[in-house]
Amino acid sequence: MKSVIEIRNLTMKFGELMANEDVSFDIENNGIVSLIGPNGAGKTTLFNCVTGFYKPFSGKVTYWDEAGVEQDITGRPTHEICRKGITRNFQIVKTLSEMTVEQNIMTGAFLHTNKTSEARDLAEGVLRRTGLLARKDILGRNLTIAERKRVEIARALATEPRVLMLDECMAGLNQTEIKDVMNLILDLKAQGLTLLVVEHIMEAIMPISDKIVVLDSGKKIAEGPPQEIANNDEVIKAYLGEKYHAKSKKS
Amino acid sequence: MKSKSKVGIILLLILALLLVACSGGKTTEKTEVEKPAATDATPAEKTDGAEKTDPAEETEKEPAGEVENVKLGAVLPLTGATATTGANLKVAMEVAVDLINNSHDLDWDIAKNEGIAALNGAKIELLFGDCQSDATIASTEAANLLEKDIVGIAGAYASGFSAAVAAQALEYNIPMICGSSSSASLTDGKTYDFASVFNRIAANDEMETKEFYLFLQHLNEKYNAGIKKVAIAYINNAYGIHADEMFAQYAPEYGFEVVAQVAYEPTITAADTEAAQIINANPDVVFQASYIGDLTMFAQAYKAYDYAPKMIMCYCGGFQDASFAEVAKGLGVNYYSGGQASAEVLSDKMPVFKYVNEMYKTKTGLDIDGPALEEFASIILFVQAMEIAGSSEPADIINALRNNSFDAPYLTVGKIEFNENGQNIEMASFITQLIDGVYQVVFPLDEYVTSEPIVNQ
Amino acid sequence: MVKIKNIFKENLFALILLALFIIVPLAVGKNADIHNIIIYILIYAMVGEGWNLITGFAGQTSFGHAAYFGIGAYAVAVLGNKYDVVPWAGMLAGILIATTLAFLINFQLFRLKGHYFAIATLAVAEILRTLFSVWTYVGSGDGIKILFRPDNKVLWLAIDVRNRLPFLYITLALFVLVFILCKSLENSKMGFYWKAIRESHEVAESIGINPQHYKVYAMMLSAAIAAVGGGLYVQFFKYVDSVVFSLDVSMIFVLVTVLGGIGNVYGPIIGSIIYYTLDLSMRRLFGGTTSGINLIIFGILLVIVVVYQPRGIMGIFDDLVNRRRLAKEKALQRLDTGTPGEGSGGKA
Repeated sequence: MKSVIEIRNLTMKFGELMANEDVSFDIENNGIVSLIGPNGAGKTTLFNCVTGFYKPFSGKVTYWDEAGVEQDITGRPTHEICRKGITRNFQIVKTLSEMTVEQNIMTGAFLHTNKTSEARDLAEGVLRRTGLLARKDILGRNLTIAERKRVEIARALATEPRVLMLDECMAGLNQTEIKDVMNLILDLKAQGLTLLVVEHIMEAIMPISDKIVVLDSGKKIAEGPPQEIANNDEVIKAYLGEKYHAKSKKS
Repeated sequence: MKSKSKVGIILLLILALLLVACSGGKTTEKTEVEKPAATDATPAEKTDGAEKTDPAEETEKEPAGEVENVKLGAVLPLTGATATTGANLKVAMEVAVDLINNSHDLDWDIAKNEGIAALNGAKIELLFGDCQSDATIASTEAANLLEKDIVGIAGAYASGFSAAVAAQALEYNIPMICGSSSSASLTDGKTYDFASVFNRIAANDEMETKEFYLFLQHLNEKYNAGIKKVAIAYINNAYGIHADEMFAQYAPEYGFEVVAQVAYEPTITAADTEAAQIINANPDVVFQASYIGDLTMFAQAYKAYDYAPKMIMCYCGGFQDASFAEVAKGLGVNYYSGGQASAEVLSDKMPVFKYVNEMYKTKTGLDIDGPALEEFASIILFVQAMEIAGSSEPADIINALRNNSFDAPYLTVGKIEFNENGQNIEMASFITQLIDGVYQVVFPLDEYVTSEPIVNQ
Repeated sequence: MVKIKNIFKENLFALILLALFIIVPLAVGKNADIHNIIIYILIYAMVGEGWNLITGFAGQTSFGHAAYFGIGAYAVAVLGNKYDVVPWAGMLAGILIATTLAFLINFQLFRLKGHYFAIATLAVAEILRTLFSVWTYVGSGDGIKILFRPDNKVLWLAIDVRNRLPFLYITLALFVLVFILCKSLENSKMGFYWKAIRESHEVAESIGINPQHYKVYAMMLSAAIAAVGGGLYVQFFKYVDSVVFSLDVSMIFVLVTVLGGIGNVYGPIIGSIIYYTLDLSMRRLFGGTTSGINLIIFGILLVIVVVYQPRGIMGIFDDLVNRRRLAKEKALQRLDTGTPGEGSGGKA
């Protein structure tokens, strides 16, 4: 499978603090890659480096767009990266609270059109795909957490990305809601998207990921399919713990 | 829902508009804040179209149905930065109205007559508008008064406001007499286009500047004052900026050297920085173009720095305000001088002035100052013009104002005459120096001088 | 047919206001006070609408809009006096200059965030004020008095003081244009983008918006509208001096918009109407004495509004509307939790 994003030797420092050290991995086309690791491992930092919120200290991020054109997106501004086809959400959900659900999504849809009516049509499509049609006129600040996270994903989808990057999109949700999001992610994959997912909730991502990348203290310590990772001693030592190790063997 | 609340807003708006429309013609029971304990008859005077008759005193209203009152308007800064001065100017104008409308025991026909003789004793009704120390509001207030069929308009103290009022007067072709604004540009014939209706009594800052320099030359010649370097601190508005221009323009001509020109905002609350700048430049004499508030701040700052130049020359503004005399006295300094059209020390030499001063002093507790006297004069002049023209038509008044010389027994120069640009060619002011809190006349040398100048060495 | 009916329904409030503005000047006959007040209201509401674009929609507080307002005023005055340029062309020149200035400086200014940006805008206006008070070409301390005396009244927008109506209606027409412009912007891509930027630069960037660009667009449009207002202002008062760039003037635009409702296209006009009617009626009722009671009362009123409902009059009504909406939504939700399928939480 061809890669959509190639991350090579990415290093990010804050003063003397090494947040990401020499991280390299690929994100394959139409795959779901999950990025996991203990708190402070550098997952969100890596995320921010790839999506243009930080300028990496060193390293290279390469992207292949729909037409297969290779582009160096290291350190480019976020909005430029978004226009190329990579959209992200936020760990602390940032719905546009003064707008309705529909308007939130329309704001994303405007990336590919200048006309309000077209944006509205595009938004309608996204509302259907994400099951938000019934809630479309509700103001952002009147939504529940689960709804907000869904709206954020929907808004990102409206930008018609090639790659969708989700930063802890399941945090704070209950069991049912998590299941819903898992199904949504699988749906999106079925629709052709490539996804990079940062998560803590193992039960949610293990079953749906094609590949898992593990970070610890800024370094990549493992990369591979879920089964391999679950059995990887390094990973277990750093992060998973005995309990889950046993669990995953069963599923 | 939404429409319901919007209907509410509409109702509110209609209410508000009605309020405004109604208050235009309302007769309100309005009492003047500074109701004086008058010994003289109080005039039948109006504010904003509301009638107020004095209950107790011997008043006369207009003679039953015979002659209509003649309406005049005045725009003054009654609130805002120059409010205290504005209040005094208003009183001065009211004194004029009183003199005109009632009979007074004074050897001057205007005072002796009741009302305007040439118009069968018609009385003056003076309407005031408050420009809130803002030129835009001055314009609106002027328009409002002009719509009320006034035949002449006076005001507005600060040069910027006067220009705004004059612009409106021009539109209506109503004569304007500006008593005390000093910017020469008002009558230079090229900056503005309202010369056809505009007349100004005070000496403009160009005239004042020349007189100041003559005075300084006089000090050098007669008293060996050794004045060479001059500096100016001026308020950053139309008045101050123009004064500064004149100051700098004429210095070399009279043989003086400009060492500093310091501007400051009307909104300052203390003048320490600016005072320090002046002091650092080490001038022999300092010029100030300041209103009462800022001048007081400078006086306090100079005193705090223990600064005593040979003289401080003040343009027409705060210096003339009687309360400044208190300030100077309190600080124990005698180096303030400035142009004045009036000085209490002249009372013995000028009976009309003395009488007017008394009327004014009864109402305000202060001696009448130059600007107030000039505003007083503006109202008197309107009436004098009407007497000569024998009519209260604005066009006739305009004509009369330009083609005659007017008796002014309350001024040392004794008369007022306007040139083709509206400037009074008779220099109304002389130089006074505040000595022990009293305005002494020190220059030019003639029968009105009351004291020798004191030069700080 | 249906479409026109819809437009009518949606904009009912605006149309009622428009009707009032057309009828009232005629109904009061020769009352110069009312005519003056309405012209005042319209000019300042117009600039408020412009100000609302950058501060209300895009969320970048500007305290220096007097800069563009003053440029518009001086452009008309200087070009008219010195080169016999028609006021309409003078206004166009004012728009060009103001917009160019907005473009040039704001690329730099927008690097500053929040309060710092606000202070910087203040500085721009102050610089212009100082410059214009000493620049002899524009009259320095004396300011400029409009000297042109045109014959063709409509072309020159001249005010005949016996009859202010033509000028009033022209100002009204221009205001309506500006209002329509702002309303349609609100619902356009730009409007959406501005609101996103206002809430969060990060969100905006993450969905492909370049905040810099859109902030500058907002500033340029805003400056253009302010310049038009300035051009009308100088023709009305026939006089302008450097005081037009002062903070006092900038704060009028802030005040009327905040009073009426910032971020709401009806805010400036509502605020302006209330502010000036109150101001005038206060002055007529209590003014003329030296007590300044009118200023005190007015100040208190302003403080009350700003403290209790920072989103202004329209904010009060929006809150009422929102409360009803929330209640409706809650009711709907209670209904939904009974049935499966689309509804709460949403299923893929």
